[in-house]
Amino acid sequence: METERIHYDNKIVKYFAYATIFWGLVGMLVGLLIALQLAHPIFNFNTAFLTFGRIRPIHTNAVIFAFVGNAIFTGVYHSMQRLLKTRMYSDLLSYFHFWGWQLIIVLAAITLALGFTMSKEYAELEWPIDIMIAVVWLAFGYNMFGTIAKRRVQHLYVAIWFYIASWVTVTVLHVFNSIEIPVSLLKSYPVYAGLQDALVQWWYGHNAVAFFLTTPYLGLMYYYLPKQANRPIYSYRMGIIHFWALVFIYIWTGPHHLLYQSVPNWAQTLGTVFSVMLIAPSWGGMINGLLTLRGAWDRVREDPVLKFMVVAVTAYGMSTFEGPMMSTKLVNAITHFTDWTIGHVHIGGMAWNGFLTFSMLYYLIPRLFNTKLYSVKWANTHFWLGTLGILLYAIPLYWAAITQSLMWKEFTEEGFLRYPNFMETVVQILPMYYTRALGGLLYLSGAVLFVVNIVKTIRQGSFVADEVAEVQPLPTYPSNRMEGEKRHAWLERKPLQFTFWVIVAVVIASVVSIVPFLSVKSNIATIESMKPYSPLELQGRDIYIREGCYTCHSQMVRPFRSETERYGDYAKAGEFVYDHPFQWGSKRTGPDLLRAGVPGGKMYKTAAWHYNHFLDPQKMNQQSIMPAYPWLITNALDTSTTAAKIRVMKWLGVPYPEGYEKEANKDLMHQASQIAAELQGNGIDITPDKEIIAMIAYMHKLGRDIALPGGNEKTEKDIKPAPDLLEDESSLTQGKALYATYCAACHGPEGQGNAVGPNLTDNYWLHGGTNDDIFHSIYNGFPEKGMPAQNAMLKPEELQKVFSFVISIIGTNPPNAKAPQGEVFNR
Amino acid sequence: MNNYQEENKADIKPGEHELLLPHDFDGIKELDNDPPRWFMYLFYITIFFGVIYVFHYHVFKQGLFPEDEYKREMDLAAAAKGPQAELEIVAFTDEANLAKGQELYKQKVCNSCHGDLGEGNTIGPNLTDNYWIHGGGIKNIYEVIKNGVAAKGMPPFKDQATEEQILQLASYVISLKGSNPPNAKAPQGELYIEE
Repeated sequence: METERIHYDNKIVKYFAYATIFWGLVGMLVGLLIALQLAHPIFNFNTAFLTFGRIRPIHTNAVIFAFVGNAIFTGVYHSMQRLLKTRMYSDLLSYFHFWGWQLIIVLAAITLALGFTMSKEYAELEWPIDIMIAVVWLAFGYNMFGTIAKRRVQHLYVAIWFYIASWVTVTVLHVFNSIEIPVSLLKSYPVYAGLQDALVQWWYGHNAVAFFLTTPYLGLMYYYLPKQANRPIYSYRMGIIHFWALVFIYIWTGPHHLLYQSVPNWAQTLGTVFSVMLIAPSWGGMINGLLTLRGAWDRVREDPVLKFMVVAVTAYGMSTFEGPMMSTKLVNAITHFTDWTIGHVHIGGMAWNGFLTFSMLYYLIPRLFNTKLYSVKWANTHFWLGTLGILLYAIPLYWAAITQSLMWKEFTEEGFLRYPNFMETVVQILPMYYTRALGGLLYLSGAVLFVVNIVKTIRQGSFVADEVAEVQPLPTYPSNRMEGEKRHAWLERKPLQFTFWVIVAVVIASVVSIVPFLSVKSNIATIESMKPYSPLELQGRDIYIREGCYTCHSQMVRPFRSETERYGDYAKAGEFVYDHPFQWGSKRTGPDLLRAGVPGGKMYKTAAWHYNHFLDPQKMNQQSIMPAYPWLITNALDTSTTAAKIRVMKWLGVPYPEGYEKEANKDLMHQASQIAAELQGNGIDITPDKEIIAMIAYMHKLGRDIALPGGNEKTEKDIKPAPDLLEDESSLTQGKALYATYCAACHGPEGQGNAVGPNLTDNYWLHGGTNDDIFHSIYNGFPEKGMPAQNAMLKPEELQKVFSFVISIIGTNPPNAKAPQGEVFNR
Repeated sequence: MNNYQEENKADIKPGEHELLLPHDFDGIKELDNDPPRWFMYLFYITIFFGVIYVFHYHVFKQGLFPEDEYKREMDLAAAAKGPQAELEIVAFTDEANLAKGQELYKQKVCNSCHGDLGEGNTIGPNLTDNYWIHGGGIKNIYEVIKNGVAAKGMPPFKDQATEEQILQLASYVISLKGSNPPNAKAPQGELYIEE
């Protein structure tokens, strides 16, 4: 067979490698900053774009998408060319991918610092950037599949399987989690609300971990580990089993982020059982990696690259055991909302992703520059600094988590919370926060040493931009399975079929676990008293989102005695129906705020308290670690967006009245001046046009409606659709007679209302004015307001008649009519 | 010349040759080992666990869902809570109880709304003068601390402190009368004259 000389593109690999190193340093540095902010609020510098709420998403995005993302592309562009014996399909696409991705990262950093965020974790970026991500990601995919198509080997190696699965799944996840309706160039609302948004977000969020931080890295491990160890892969069959099991099972596990929260029990069950089933498939990668090192352990002792790999793979194994344990209700009840989660992800991030990246670059850079690593000793020092850093980071956080969780849950003998003041539980763990920052510093200093080592290596070598390889042309195989060919071996040389089955595996789980919630409204019990956000509250909510309050405050009281005693009634799914996006949060650095607006509730604070607290939290609570938000007091609220926001919300199904976008700012100003007047009454010098006013309005909305009469969950079956209206004279006469007997005492003989009950003849309704609403009011009544449930007294046909009569008197203008109450509803 | 030309020869140990698959991906070889048996058993056991779990909770309905767990937890707590002894509402004047009251004043963060010395601030009223919005005297103050004043943002402390503790706190507040702290807020409410 004739051999052919081809050139691998090393330049694109070098570009991505440099970007990995640069963004890695940035991400870790920002991480160190937020670690310090948690230890002491002084590190927020009283500056909007440096506060924790805005910086924390920059850290997570920088590490996940900039550092790990670029590392994935480095490894994929390097290993794929060699595994497929071809140059990348298109240099143009390669460089489009590179520059596009770096542009996205820069835009992400800028917009997040400025507070433009969707507030969905790891999917915070606003819609124009979401579109750019989709475009660049498609370009990457096109390039990848193009390269696979022009390969010179028949079978795809297991690393390529993982690359394909990663690409396919991330595409699906990104698109479906990012369906959002723009309000303006940099503001949008997700189409999902409340529990739907939560389920979609954690379906995404968990699988971003799975298919961005895990499967591509397993691919990298399958290439770089045997290369560096110079050993054959231990078990080909193990690769097949754990690949397919992982791809199929991972997708189901998202709801394990929502245990004990307002999602249906069957979703929680899926989250738990699939997480437990995931242990073995995850471990398959670790075991295959470690067993590949059999016979090479003597080398591990001397070779820092292998050491990094061994720790990375072992940490992966530990994390993928820890994760399923945290997905059981027993453990989750203790670890969720605490620093345990933070420790868990950092074992994954620092040890698995970080160390594997370092080992890959230590392997790669000398080869790209045709030289040896400048200093093996430094690399060894880096290894120990990094390992020590990880331990000093994670152990204090696990300790802090257990300490704080037990303090949250402890009751005195008299039956009171032992630590009713949340602050006490924070103060207790501050030393651990300092130690964690020290761990981060050690890890970062190791990374700096790594960079110096790499720079020195580059200096002493000479770059091989187009590496020559001698390859043989693709041997021709029949398309169908050959005699004696195993089914999977056949699949490995059929990329399209292979990809098809990956899609099937991923999509089945997604469809089963997500679609029921998008299509069936009755999954969510409705709560009568829940009202949409007033325009001012909506603006306040958007400021809450802008400042990243959700990074420290949950809005999810779980059904635990220790939580209902501390915060108030536990959360119901029906409370969140107007929440685009949901704000349940995933970490409680401060207390839960779900019930912050219940007057007389455990979490209620006055407007004046909020004002002072936002201005200077340490004045209210000396040991508080919350940053100050002085700019909320000086910034004027931008009301030019109100109409557009209401319009989008209406489009998403939030029941604002027709044409309300035009009225909204009037209501906004009215509510704002009431709050401002209250503050002024307390001697605070403030005008109603400030952002803090909207923020206070939002704080006082939280949990308020559900605490009103009618704040009980009603399932679909309690809601009676209105019967047909009867219009014939005899029915209406009978209806009138029934009305005189049962209704007139409180609503007046002609429906004009009296001192007891409201006017029924105008267009204003306390409980909604649609036929369904009115029938529902008649049928079930409002016992707490003295309106009896007529269902108990009247037969169905009688109900229908009295209902028809009530509808017939709307607009009749009787004398002595009572003034309108409730909200206008024009028929 | 490339420093790394020679590296593509995998290190195959004796006895591995018969397990070697005819694969070669850029020099990477694969062995045809079976996955370790314990690994496969682990996988089967977790699947079995999943099936049992689903049946336990959703078919035989034996497991408690979160709301049921909560109900049970609250019932147990209610059963464990003994009746509190009837307390006579008379202000403490002894040092030990007042010191406890002072400690509670700090612990319950009363100072964030009433100032470190009870002088009051933009949020809450002065506690050191003779003027009271909801009535002075131990009984009224005890009542306000215990049940709060929802409309004004004064939280109820009955779920956070025993009746005795509330009385200690109220007594401490009484003891602040006439202490004349600096920056005291102007009087609010009505002059209270001890009956």
